[in-house]
Amino acid sequence: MSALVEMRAFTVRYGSTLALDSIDLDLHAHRVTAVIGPAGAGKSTLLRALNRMNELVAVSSREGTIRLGGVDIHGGDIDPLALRRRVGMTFERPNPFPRSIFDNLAWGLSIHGVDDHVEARIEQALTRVGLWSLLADRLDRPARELSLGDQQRLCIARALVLEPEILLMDEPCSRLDPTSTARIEDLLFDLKTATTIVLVPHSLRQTSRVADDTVLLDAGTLIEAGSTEEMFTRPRRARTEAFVTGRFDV
Amino acid sequence: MPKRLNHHLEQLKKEILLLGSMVEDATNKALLALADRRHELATEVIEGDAVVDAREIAVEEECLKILALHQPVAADLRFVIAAMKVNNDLERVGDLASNLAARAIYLISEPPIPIPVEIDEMADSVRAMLRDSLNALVNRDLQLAHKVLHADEDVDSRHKRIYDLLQARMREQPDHIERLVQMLSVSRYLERMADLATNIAEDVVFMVNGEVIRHRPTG
Repeated sequence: MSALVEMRAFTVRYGSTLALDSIDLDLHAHRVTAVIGPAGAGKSTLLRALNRMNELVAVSSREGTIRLGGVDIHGGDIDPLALRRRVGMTFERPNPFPRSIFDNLAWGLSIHGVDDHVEARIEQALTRVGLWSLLADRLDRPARELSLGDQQRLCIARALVLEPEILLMDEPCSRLDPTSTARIEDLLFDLKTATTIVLVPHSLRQTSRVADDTVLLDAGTLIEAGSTEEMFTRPRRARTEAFVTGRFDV
Repeated sequence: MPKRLNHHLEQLKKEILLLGSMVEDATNKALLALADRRHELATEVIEGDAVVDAREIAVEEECLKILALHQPVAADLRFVIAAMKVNNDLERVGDLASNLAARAIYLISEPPIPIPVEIDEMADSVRAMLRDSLNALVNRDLQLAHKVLHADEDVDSRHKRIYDLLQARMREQPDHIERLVQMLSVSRYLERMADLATNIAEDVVFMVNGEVIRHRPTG
């Protein structure tokens, strides 16, 4: 199985701080990959490297390569905005714009110059996150009127409307109640047939419930990467065993 | 129910059923080998036991995966625990089918002696018990599980009758003793299979309502 994303000797520094240290990692298509590790491990940095969001932080510098579908994402002819269309992202805190539900979805399409079948695309994206039947007759209502869980699903729909190849999700459930969390977790299971998901989960239990593959980082170093089943039943590294059993003492 | 957990539980159910049908098939073939004196069938059963063993390990890994990844609770947890125990029991049924086949090979190599009709009847009961216990597991069918529990008493009393019968024959025909001892083993293996089907039925009761009924007299 050839990897969708190939990260080689990838290093990120924020000023003099080493955030990711020479990471070699493959991510596979149509899988949910969880990136786990203690605070400051480099999880969000790794996620943001995949759509070059780290570059928005002025003091960041990088070495090494990331290939998406065999193409270097830092190549001279790659437009970061176009890359972010292919590699969408959602965040910990649902962040709908202070506009209508419809506008929240139409916005991404318009900045990427997509002006055909806008309504059909919006319907499809809302259907995929299970919100269409709920919101079809009130698309003109302010997005921030929705519950937090529905706002997060709307933000996922906003990323999906651009049909990304990869969806990056940084702790998408950490602010949600258990019911909304369960809904989003089921959504991941459904979404991976069409896209590839890289997720920073908010707990180890969520990792084991939803992820096909898991990557453990600590202080910017890759400790172990592999199938979640293997990492949670017979990890190869003692540090992985210690982390998944809650005995990571560093 | 969470979709991914559900998906893994369905997979486990299929694996258990597959193992169940493999040992059922092995039992049928071993009994047919004995009745029709077909050496090649008996060999097939003995050689096939390695495949049964490999499936048992696969099911155990599936259970381990579900426990590690989903930390199931309540009915889901009881199902996985029951599946692990049923898995062991089915593997043991596979071993007994293999033992039956080995006894068949010995008896085929010797001049034929009549097979007591009770052995045929007992084999029919054991096959039905195995089938019913697996159906009870898959369909969470308590009534069927209890039917299996009651059927075990019948198998036990048949085994006792066969024992008495074969003992009498041994006295009458001492030159047939070796073959009759092998025949007695056949009856004992069948009786053990019925015990394992009973274990499965008990696990079904535990799975459905959390009640442990092992070590209780049936009534």
